[in-house]
Amino acid sequence: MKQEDIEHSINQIQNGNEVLREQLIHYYQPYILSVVGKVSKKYITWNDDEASIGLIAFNRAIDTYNPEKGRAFLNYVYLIIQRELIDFFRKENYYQNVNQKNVELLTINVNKASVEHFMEEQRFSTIAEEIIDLNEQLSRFYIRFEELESYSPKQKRTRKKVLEIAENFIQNETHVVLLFRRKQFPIKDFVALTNYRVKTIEKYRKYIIAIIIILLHPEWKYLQSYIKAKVKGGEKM
Amino acid sequence: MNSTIKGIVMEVQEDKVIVMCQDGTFVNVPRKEHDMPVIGEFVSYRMKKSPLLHWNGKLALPLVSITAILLLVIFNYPFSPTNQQAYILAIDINPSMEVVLDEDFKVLDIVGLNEDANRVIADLDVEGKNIGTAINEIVVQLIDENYLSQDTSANVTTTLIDLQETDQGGLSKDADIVKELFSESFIKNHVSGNIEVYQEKEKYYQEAKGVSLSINSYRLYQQMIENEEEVELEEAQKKPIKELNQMAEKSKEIEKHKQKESTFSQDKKEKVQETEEEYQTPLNSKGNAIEKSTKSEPSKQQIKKKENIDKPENNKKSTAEKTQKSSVKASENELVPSQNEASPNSENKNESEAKDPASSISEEKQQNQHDPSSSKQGRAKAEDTRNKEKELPQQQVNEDKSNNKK
Repeated sequence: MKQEDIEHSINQIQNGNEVLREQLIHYYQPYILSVVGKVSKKYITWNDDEASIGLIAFNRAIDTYNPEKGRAFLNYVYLIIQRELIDFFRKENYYQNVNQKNVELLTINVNKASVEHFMEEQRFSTIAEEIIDLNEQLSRFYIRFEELESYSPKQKRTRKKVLEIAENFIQNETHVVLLFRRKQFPIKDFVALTNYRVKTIEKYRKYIIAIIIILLHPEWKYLQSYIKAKVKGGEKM
Repeated sequence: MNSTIKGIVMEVQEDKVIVMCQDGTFVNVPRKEHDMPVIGEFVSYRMKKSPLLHWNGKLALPLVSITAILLLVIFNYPFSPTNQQAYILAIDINPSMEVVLDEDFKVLDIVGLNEDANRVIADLDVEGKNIGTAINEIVVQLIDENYLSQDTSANVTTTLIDLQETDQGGLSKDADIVKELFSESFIKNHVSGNIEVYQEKEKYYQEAKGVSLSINSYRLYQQMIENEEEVELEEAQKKPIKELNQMAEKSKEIEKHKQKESTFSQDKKEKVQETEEEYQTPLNSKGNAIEKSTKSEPSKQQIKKKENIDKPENNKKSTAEKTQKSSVKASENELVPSQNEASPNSENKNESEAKDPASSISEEKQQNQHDPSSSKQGRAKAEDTRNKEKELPQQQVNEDKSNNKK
């Protein structure tokens, strides 16, 4: 989701669009859980109290977010969740043994109000934004991130070849349309047009889909840069 | 395999962190307990992965099976009967060489023990051939290199060493075959030579190896030592087999002289046999010396003669001497009642003593005329055996008595 889209939908939510609020919360669920885990320094599931605190904090962040203050939404969310959790730990007397360090981190963060720090935060939240988006897109294809390791090409040469396949694939719009409509890789049609072997495509299918999605979103500049770094590596060979 | 994984965190799960690496691939990193990165965070992990685990199962299965097959092949190899070393044939002419043979007398390997031999072997290709053809080729080669010729007769000493503990009878047949093969090949190539073939066990071969002599040289060296010749081990190592042979021949001749004497004294010994043992007489010492010397190899034939001459009691005695301990034990039991018998015998002894020294002295004089150096050795030997006797006088008395009884 682009920054403008977020601002737009948050504005709608603040004006009383509860359905959109549900959608937004659902959309950012993985991020909430991740931040809660980071602050609590342990792995959190939706059954934990911390997760509920995180959700409540996120809900409050939607209500109180003001884009004019110049903060990225996710960055703001992070801050709110962190504060809420620290309050929660204080109440629970967790504070002393668990979260001493987090408070220190928080104070450092506050004091470090430099341009550099701001840029870093922006970058960080943008990447998170991109990843959440990608995750959401992939879930439509029933692909989870954890599966992608086994579908990833291991050698530089095959990586280069797989990227080549993906680039060839997005050239043909009908293929892309087919892919999104069927939620399946149109192997037969694709192989008929190109000379790639069915076996190769089948082997790296999920990874190819992930790359195609990334390539189709040029606004994801950080994820794109990762793919491009790979192209460079391929050219070096 | 150490590798660093750098990338951004895509997802955090209970047991792993999914990272998108800088090259665009996805890696699932096992999560440590207090490691909780947030989505989008840039992380770097150091991975310790063995290359085997890194590969997928498809590769692992053939790899395991290949290793298993390899192991099977390697462990089966030594048990295959075809390449088993069964015999070593050590040939000493001047070049000393060892031919390694398998059970069927096929040549497995040929090893030169000195430079001459190495030169000869260099032009030979006998591996895998039968022993007969191998011997023939060796002989031809030796003629080519002028180690053997038609004019002079050569001394060929060979030893067949049995590396497997098989029965002796079979081996002695094999040794005869080797001798025949040599003589056949000599006749074929019009060379005259004196062929000696011995058989030995592996232990003897190892002993020879231990003092770095070829087995045939080692045998000659042993013989010379037994004949009281002063031979340094180093000297034996340096000298070629020919010279050793000559040295050994010399000592044999000396030995023969002694044995002539000893056969004389043997006859006399029989006469006084019943009474001789109580006191140490020069004859007694001589008689003992004979029996010591009969153990050494060169005088084998003479022993046989002697054994024929000896009375059955005497035979028994010599065997009794070899198995001293058992006979001592047996005779101890009989000692008490037989003590009375011993005293009358001692008178006879005195008589025989009176005769004996004179005869032995005369023999020594004869020897002096033959060869002054040999008499020296003879005397030295006599002294030596006397010393030995002092250690065991009691036992001999016992033996003697037991013999008397029988």
